[in-house]
Amino acid sequence: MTRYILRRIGSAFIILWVIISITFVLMHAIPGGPFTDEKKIPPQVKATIEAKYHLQDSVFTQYTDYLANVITGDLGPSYKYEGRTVNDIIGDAFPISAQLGLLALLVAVVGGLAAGAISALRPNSIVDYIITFVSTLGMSVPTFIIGAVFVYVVGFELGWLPVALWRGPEYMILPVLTLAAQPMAFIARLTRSALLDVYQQEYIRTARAKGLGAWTIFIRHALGNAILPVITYLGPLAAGLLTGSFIVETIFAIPGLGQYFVTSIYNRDYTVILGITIFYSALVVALNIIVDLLYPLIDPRVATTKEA
Amino acid sequence: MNRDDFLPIERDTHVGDVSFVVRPNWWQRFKRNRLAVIGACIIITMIVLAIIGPMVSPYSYADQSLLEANQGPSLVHWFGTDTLGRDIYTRVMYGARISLTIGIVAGLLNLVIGVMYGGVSGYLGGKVDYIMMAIVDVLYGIPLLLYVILLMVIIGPGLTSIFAALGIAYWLNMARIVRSQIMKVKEEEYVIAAESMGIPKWRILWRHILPNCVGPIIITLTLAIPEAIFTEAFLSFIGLGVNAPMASWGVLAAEGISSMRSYPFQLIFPALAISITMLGFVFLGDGVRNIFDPKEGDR
Amino acid sequence: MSEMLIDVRNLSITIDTFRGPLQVVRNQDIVLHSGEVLGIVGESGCGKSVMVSSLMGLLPKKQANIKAERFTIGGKDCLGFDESHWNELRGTTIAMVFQDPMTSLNPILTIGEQIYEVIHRSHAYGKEYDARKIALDILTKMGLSSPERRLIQYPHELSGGMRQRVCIAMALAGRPNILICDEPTTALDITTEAQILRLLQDLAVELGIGIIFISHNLRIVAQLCDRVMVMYAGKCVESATVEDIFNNPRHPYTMGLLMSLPQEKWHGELKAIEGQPPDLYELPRGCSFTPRCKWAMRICGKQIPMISTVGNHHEYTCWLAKLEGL
Repeated sequence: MTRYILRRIGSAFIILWVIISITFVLMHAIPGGPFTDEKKIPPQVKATIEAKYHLQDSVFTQYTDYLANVITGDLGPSYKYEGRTVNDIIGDAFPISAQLGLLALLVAVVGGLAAGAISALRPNSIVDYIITFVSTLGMSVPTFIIGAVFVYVVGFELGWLPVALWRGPEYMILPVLTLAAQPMAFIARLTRSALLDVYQQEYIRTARAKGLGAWTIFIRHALGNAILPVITYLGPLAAGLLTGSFIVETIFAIPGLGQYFVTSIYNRDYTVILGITIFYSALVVALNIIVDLLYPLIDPRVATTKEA
Repeated sequence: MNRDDFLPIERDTHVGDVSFVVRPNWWQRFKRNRLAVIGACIIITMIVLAIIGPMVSPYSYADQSLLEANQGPSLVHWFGTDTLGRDIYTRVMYGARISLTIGIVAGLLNLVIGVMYGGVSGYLGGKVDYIMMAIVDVLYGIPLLLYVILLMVIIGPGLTSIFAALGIAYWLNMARIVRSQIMKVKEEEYVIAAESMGIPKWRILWRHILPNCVGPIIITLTLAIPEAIFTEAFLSFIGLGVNAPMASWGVLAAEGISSMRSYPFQLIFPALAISITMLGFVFLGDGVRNIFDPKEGDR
Repeated sequence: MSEMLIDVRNLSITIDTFRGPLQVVRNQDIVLHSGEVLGIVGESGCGKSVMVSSLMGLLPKKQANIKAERFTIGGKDCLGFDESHWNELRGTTIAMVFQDPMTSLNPILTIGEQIYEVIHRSHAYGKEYDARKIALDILTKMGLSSPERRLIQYPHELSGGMRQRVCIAMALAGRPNILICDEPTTALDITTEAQILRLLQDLAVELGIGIIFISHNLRIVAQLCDRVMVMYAGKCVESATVEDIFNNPRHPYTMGLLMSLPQEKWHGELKAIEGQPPDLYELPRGCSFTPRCKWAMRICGKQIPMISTVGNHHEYTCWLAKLEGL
């Protein structure tokens, strides 16, 4: 088990190194980017960047410097906002995005599991059909359209909830629902088919033969096994919520990191784009590790097979 | 009951037709699978619309007429017009061409790169496989959409950039699946038997290994194509889609959102187009999974 | 006289399938006494598994239609039982061991957890008991080495034979009077099979419980059972003590099964029964075995034979019985 954890963390460092290297290469490839000469940026910023990245040095020295910077957590100055570093921006905006993301994660997992379980426990009932229909629809409609419909119907037409900014619980409902909609639909479908599959398994028959009640069988024997694919999905889900937050924060004018990212793309604020990319990549890698370490706690088979 | 009843029974010496329950082939299974048929119909309809839709319209996707801006749906402009007075029907139909092309090209790239990579890795095995899969594993740990965005920022928006970005990023799944399928089939006794009979390698690959990979490949494709269309819509939304005046569904929907409050119809039509197509792919995907993965299917 | 644990008369089970209703078990009696090991033998698909599943109430209520004149298990009339009634009975009065020990244990619960939940359900231990101690006792009795370790292990960490011992331990943990074993050794290798069989034999003697043992292997049945029911196409064609079945088989199907066993002292060729078991949707008129029977007579294809009795409760259904009287 310890070996598995160590190996997993080791591979995470390799992934991080690849991420930083790719980013470095891309930075040099950017036309009009921080490392080319024709710059139409404020001279002050230009000076900071040149001082920061030692552009007169060899490419290899630049690379090792950059690597050292990123590893120590220094993502450099912004290209467009004078006097602000990427770290400042992340420090200001990320807590908001984290709130949005965690709430959406919670809603998606809890809602999806519940819907999928209800569906699977009464297969081919009306409730099952409704849940299946809604979740199939939820998977088919792009996030920004779901967001737009919420804004238009609940915000403008009905006027029930605010549709912009991030100032309190009532501001959170629509963005969180928008961000959670697609993963929730996916988790519901995943849970349903996993549960139906589990109920065909022989250990469920064994549990019935033991005289256990339907509820005990569901909680003790079925749910634990059916939740495994959902846990596997948590890694991709984290990445999906990140990119989804770009859209949701833009639509609902939430001052989070995602909106900064999209604005930076419009402004071609390269250092911010690269910085946020590295930050988010590292975050996803970290979340993936957590999920991978969580998995063997629930599925004992993984721990031993991976160790062998 | 009499004595005659206890004489030996007269039997037909004719053995009778041995009836086998013939396992239906995939086409028959497809036809019986309602979901798959509905999904395929939706997608085919969309493709047909993409081809002939723009032809039946008197306007071109780029024709501007500021005098006719922001008109609601009417007989003249079936879906209305946008802020520049362009005919939304024409733009949605034209957008279908672009979005579906993106989906199909992304699918083909996925197929070619993924199947070749996974095929080589799985068939050669050993050290080559180990290294190739280590590369895939590392790439898998990276949130690739972020790098697609980065790439789009660098090479600039446009149709070719989208192809390039999607092609680079989205073959990993396919490679993994093809590789694991080949690894599995390679261990099957009929392949070992074929090898021991001295059948040439290419023939084993063609006759025995490839047909066993078709199912998983098609399942992966039915997931990859809508994913590509979604990704393009996402990129369009953050300003990295195809170049104006060209417009994919993603671009149209993004434009529609900006004027949603005053002219909701400008969002509704492109939104419906994307959503219905995606629904088609979800149905097809579910159906295809049932067809090729009978364990999961026939529920 | 020993207690009658199972008393089922004239049992018919029809299952709704997509091809229409399928009668899997037809007018069958099952009787089991305490201390008795009843073997049920037949080809796959002859209805033996469905029949014992009905004794556990495990058939899906919606699809399975069960009819019987009498359906008594452990002295309780189970006709019209709902799920909660069955739950009351299962695990405590009647327990079951399944064919494949690889898949019949929950992969994400420890062996201990899976045994404890049976002990907690049982009333046999009174109010205060030590579940761990009971589980350890049973595992030891099952011949498992280092039982303390087994309790905290997961199923995938054990071998097939060990898992099947765990399954039997689990079934016995609720102190049932009846144990049903559905081909419990089919998935195991032959040495392990022998060990498990010896274990079951000892248990039957020691605990005095009734055991129903399903198998398609006559040799195993001969080793283990007191009485044998030979099933063909959803019906028992011959029922007798093991000695009578082997020394004095009456039904051509039983004879066929015996002929197809490899004999120790005899080096002739194996005589397999020709043909295939009938399609249950289109059962032949008369006796179902007619198309494959060497001695089939005209009447066999017209009328279903009735039960004939010889000696000590040796029953069989074949027209040949009447031929002797002519």
